[in-house]
Amino acid sequence: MTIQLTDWGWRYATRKDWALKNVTLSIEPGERILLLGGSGSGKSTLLRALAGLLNDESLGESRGNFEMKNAQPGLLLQDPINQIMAEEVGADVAFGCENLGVQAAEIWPRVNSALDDVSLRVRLNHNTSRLSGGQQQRLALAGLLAMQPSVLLLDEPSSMLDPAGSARLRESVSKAVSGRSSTMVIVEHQFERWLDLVDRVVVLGDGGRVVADGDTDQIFSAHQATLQELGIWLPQPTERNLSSTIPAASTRRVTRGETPTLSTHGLSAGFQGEVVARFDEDLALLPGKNYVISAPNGTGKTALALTLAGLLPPVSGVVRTEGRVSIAMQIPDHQFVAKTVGDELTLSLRGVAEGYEDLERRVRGLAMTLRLEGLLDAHPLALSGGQKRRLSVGLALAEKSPVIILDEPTFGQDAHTWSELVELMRTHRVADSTLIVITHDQGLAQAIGDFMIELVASPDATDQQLASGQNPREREGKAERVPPIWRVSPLAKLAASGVIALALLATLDAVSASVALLLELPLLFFAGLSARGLIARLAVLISAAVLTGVTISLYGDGSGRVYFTFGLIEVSDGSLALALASALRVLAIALPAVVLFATVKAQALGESLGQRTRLPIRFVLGTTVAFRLISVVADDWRTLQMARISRGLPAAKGVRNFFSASFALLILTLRRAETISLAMQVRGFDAITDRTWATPSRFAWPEWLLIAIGFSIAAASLAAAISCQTFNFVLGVL
Amino acid sequence: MTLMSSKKVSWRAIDIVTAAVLGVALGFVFFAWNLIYQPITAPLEAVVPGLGALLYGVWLLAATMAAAIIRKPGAALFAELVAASVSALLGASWGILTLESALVQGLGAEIVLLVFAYRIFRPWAIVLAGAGAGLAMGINDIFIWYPGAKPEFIAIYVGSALISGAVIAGLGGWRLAKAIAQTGVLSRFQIGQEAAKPV
Repeated sequence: MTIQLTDWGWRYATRKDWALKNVTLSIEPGERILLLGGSGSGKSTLLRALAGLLNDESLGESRGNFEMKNAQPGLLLQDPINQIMAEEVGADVAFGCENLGVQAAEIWPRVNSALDDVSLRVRLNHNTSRLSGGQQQRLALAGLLAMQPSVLLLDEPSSMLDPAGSARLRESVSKAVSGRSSTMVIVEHQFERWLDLVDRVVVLGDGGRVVADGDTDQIFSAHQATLQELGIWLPQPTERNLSSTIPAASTRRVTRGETPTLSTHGLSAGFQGEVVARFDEDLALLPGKNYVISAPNGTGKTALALTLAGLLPPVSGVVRTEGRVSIAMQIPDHQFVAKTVGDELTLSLRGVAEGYEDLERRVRGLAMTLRLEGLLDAHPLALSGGQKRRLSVGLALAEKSPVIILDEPTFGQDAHTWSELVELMRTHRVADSTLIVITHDQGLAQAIGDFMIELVASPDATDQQLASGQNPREREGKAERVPPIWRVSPLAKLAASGVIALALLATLDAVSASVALLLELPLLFFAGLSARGLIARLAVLISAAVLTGVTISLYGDGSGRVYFTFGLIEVSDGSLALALASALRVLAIALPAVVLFATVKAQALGESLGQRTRLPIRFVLGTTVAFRLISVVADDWRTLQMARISRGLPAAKGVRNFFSASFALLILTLRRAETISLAMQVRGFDAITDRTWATPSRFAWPEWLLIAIGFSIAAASLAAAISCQTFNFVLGVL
Repeated sequence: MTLMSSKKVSWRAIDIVTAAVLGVALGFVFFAWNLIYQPITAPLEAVVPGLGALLYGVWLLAATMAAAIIRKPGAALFAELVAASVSALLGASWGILTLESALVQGLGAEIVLLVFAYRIFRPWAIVLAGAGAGLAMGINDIFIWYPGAKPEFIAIYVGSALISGAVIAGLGGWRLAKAIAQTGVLSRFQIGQEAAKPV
């Protein structure tokens, strides 16, 4: 089971250079390896190769020898959100086992024990999107552990987590590998906390060669210079307590004669009226000072940053600012709005430049500072992670606003980029501006902070649940109370609304449509929709019915008395009758579907399509996982709107802006597809032969009852039409 | 490179997920368009009945864009179905017939691509696929929603749908896919590899 690479190399199809060259490496079972290297040294590529993800000709070519027999690899990726496979915690962890064809009876014990290993004590039907980033990352780990991998691969697993979150993840990994004899390879920029888990360090140099390989202590003593040169973080001897070295900011620090650039009064921030962050004390921030806001994930620091920047209305209290606030948001991609790097720089600099020549000079100058001078024509989204980050921080600083907010500016960067960013923050800011840095990077806080600001965490229900140590045996617990219609198989809903549609399509007359409509109305009460949701859905429907009615009354085949003619338009008894019938028919066809579809969960749809139909399984699974993005896309849209305003663009008002914002959203969403597909492959998506299902999709009497109701409505409306002699066969009308 | 080797007909994970995700994103576009297309097309309808269909090509974008990006048999149909499902789940006013339309429209595009044996995905092929989807949409709508309309209305409606399919979905979808490729997002697809400068 030894993994053996001999002179192995890899080149991506889109690149001229080899990402990895002449890698010679052997990994014995049970070894725990830390893989180090500068950015672009091919660490992630090597992990992907070990995970078996490079077995695809369209991806690139390999050379040399790669031997890895009988190993079952499991790879944990960086980004927690895109690794989620299902709506419910239990289904998410089970996903990989199902793909591998593990028997259903064996899956649940595995799921429970994996959740125990990562200390995620929530109910199995807990919604995955309501977990914090750190919990989601542990959930992804549980999903891998349930597949019982023999080689655990971790690709910067904690780069998107706060210190507390990564400490918990480390505990989980430790627990997981100690119980099993699994091999482990980890890549991590800030690796201090992982050191006691590994026994060997492998260092990749530029061009993807192994430049050092040995046990932990030896590498850090003998190869210090090499490591420093590669931009690798070196273990710090001690960790100083942050809050003891930087004074806390407080209103009392404002002395007479000083005008704060930004002040708050009773401020709490959050999304859609739900408070997620608040300050105990009011703030009065002074010009020329640097403030560090340090807060764990999930305490709403992003909401706070957006609120301080004036992009998100405060839930309560006020923010007062003198002049413009510039912000570099946590994810740079959101804020790029132009087609080239040069245009991005121009957009930020045009407010401060005097005349065209000055603007050009400033653009070139800033590009040099950001080391992007060769990339002025490149698309900002095509830049590397470090380049994007430099650009976004540079843009925020360039606007010369009195207040500058940077949200996690050093997130996931290597030591080189980190120093560049700190240098940028120190030197490229206007002397009398206020810099607010929101970060949990303690080194950054030490490097630039004048004052600390503490954030009060709003109690997170999940964390409370976790803290109280709820008995994991209660995971099976109570199902959430929902109207019974939610639990009926989506297939039955499709069938019931399909049957009604079919009957009404056969005839075009007011009688059948009205009868169907009347019989459908009681269904509304069983859907358990909120009045608002119901009205929103019905409004769309009614306007469609009216439009169809108007169209047919004007352009329908006429007969009888003619009321009005103009060109092709002819309103007559005949066309009005057709119009009434058409409008009622539109309502009667759409109503059951609109109401029934409102009670369909993506996961249930996937489960029933996968188990009860013969549709190709990989497509069903791909669609189900993509459906989960429906809520993510809605959030992305809101974030994009704020990001665009922050860059001085109007929000999606006006058709042009709407389309350009939609385009940005499309790119953002497609970018997720790449990670999601990797995450699915890691969970055995390509190995599917005989997939099992942890949760059987039910199709019993409630389903048959619903279908029977559909049939009855269809039959009743047809019978009514025939007995009233209004049956109007559609093909006869045509 | 516009030819695709016939060996590559099996779907990679990235193909399936990208098509599905594209479908979800465009499902939102469909839903937004469902809400606003009536006032936008009303002036056209006022000029000549049925002319509003000139803008209905928006509903075919999933089919043409998936064809341009994924370049595999069934991609257009799959993405169009996913997009329609999302718009139906969010509450489209045609109920289950939203899915039926998508099926017919997707097949319209697939038939055109099949004529080229799924080997040609040049811009004009995507335009023709869009036209195919548009024609299918027009005929389907007449059957389902406008039985009893006059022949003149039918001719104008179906003709407008076809033109819209070619221009908005075909040409527009191609250009949109190309613009997305320029951002480096589609590097694992042919369209992305053509657009990217070698680095």
